[in-house]
Amino acid sequence: MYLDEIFITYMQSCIADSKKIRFKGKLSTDIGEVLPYINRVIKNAIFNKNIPSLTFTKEFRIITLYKDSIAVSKAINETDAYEIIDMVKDLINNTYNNKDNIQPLYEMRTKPTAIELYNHLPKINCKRCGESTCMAFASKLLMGQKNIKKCSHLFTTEFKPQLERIKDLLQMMGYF
Amino acid sequence: MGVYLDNAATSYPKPPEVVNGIVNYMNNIGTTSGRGAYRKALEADRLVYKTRKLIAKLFKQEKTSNVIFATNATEAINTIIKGIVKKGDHVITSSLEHNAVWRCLKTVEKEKKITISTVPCTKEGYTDPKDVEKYIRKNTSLIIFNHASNVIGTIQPIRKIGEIAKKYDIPFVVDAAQTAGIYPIDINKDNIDILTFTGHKSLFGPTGTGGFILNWNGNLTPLKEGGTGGDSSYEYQPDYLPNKFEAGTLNICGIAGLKEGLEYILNTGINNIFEKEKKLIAYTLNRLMEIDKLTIYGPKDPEKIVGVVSFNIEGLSAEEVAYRLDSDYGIMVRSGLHCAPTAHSIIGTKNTGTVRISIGYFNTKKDIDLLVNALKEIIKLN
Ligand SMILES: Cc1ncc(COP(=O)(O)O)c(C=O)c1O
Repeated sequence: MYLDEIFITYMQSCIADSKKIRFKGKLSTDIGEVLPYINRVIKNAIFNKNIPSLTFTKEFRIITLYKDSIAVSKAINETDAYEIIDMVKDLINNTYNNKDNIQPLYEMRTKPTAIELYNHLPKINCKRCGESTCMAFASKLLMGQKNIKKCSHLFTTEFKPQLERIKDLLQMMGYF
Repeated sequence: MGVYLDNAATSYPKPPEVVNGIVNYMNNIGTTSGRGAYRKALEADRLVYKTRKLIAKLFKQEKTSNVIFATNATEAINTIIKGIVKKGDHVITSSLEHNAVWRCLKTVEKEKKITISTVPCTKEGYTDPKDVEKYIRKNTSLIIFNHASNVIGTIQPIRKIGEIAKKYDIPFVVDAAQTAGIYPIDINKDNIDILTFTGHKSLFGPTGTGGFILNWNGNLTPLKEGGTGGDSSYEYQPDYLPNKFEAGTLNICGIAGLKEGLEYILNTGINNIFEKEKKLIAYTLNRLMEIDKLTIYGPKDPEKIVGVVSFNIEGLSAEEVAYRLDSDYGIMVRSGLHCAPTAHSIIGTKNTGTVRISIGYFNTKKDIDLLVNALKEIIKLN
């Protein structure tokens, strides 16, 4: 078998929705070479070749694959976590076994836009992050040049839902 | 060591892997599952998940999260009956139920004023599925049958009964305590809405393991509420599976053993287990039929039963036969009503009980020869 095991190494409640969980895992094989193939197979995946990372969703769950690890948010419970792990393992192994018949895709088919990120920011242009506008901050976030932690407003309880949404979008870009 | 012929009560011996699985868990993992922040707790989660998945595989259920653990079949059956049946409802059941089902129904009858119909069967334990249909009423909310009797072994036509239940949209529950692990079961093909199982019989797990598989979308209220690991700030029982029904710390030590039992079964192949047991059942029936003064109850047909055979010997009480077998020959069998009084009404042994032998995967022809020789001697000395 190409990929033998995915070991879950971390599991906690989601920040905004304590009824859901997020977890991380380690892969027993470096799957970097397979990511572009999976990017072709999964039509709505977001591939970031610079990291590299590949993010896709399974219903409400957000799954990000790196070359030797995985991060998942919004899973239901432990059983769900391990079911996702099994599903992902099969996806990787099946894609690998079939890779002679798949045209690898290195592009990012779709990605969140700066506007989308901006919509969830406080939009007050306070400049505390070091950027002159929230829109500028959004653009840098999207390129991975700024850390979300720089926006202190987002980390107040008032902005909790917005923060969670931005984190989802950033996870899709492979930044978490 | 003696000859163990009480596998319908619990299987013995267990495959060595089962014991090793428990020891390994106790020595090397030892943690509880449910959102632990450290590696070893995650290992416990993984072990529980793998066990669930093996159960799902064995009974052909696709959804691992629909496999629910309980302390045994009895707890699973109580959860289901009490979680489905409402005041004034009507329930249909077999004439051969174990007290796990029967006492639970009788208690609900008293407390919720429900009515119970028992579908008649022949004295061999055969049920005509068409009879089930005759008992269905407007307020029938549950049909519950054992898959095989623990007194006479008769296998019930569950697939056909399930078909009828489906036609009327009534949940069909199968108590597979005596078949899970030795008889191939396909939860979908067999039209089962909820399957209950116990871990310590033919699944080779330790005592204190069991549960049910939900293959039904209806509303089932949990029997108990409590901690489930995650989302502790929420004040009510979560509604997602399997946590909804699994309040309190799981028997992970037992589950570690059950996992190995399930792997043993899947590696050996359920059909191979079934065929091997069938051969030994045929041999047992033939050898017992050699004995004068011995009456066998039930079908006397290896195609129609699991490895459970009840009998009596003329002029000797069941208790005496069991006692003599144990004390003089080291052969372990059961006597009495085996927790299923209604089944004894069917075969006419409610006052006397029966001697029951039950064959497991590790029994051999030699065990049966020792039993038959002992019985012949006991009769001669009487
Ligand atoms: C047919 C049947 N149902 C239910 C049970 C109850 O199993 P447990 O005691 O493991 O709950 C048994 C065995 O004792 C049985 O034979």
